[in-house]
Amino acid sequence: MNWKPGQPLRLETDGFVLRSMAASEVDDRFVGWFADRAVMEHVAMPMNLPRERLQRFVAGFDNKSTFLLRIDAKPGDVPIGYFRVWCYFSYGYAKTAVVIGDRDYWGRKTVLETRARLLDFLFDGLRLHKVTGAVYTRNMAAVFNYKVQGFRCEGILREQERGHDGGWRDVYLFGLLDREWRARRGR
Amino acid sequence: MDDSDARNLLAQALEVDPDLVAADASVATLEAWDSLAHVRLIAALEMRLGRQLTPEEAVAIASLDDIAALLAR
Repeated sequence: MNWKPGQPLRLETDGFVLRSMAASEVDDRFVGWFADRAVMEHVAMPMNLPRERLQRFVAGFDNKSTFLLRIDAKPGDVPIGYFRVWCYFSYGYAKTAVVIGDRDYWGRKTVLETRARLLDFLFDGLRLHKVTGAVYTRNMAAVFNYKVQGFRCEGILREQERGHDGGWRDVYLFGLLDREWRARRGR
Repeated sequence: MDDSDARNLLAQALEVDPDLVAADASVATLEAWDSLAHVRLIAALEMRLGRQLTPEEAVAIASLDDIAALLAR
């Protein structure tokens, strides 16, 4: 891999491209995902953020230890969602989160395919030891994806965050070790 | 354990014939068991039980056996 820290990252699967997003690429579609209640129901970020605020949000990822990777569907590189990744190299782990903003891609194994490529990068490219994810306990689709991909539920944080309706949300913590991922990949 | 109730419930969520749901069916063996089917399954289970699953119960469901055990409680 030719990628160097600080450079935009590009990862590819059969059906998708994951690539570092620039603030200038915050378009109506991206803004719209933050206004879609169904999309944002399980996302721990404020709804209806204005374009300027989202541009600052995107610009905050440095492509060194933090990444905002837009997911583009092939063919045509149509944006359908994004990953956020925070790497803690001193501790050997990364936190990840994914949002599929285009509902047409829900239930089509999009997360499984794209996260597999991201996990290869984090474990093999960056040599991290562990990848974690946190998800609201009522986000059953995300729970399913984590379990199918070999993540283990390592704990439940009770009433950890407040949802968009003002109610408290319990959160599952999921974790996957490098050796567990390699075993699944047959390496 | 008679798991026909669990099999029918899972088949309905997966939108497949119950005969296609094997005794050892799980998320690893059933192609039709995708994320949206899982959402339907959890909703159906909660409807059947008349209550919301606890986080511990919900995260444990990954096979026909898990569903049957939950219904048998």
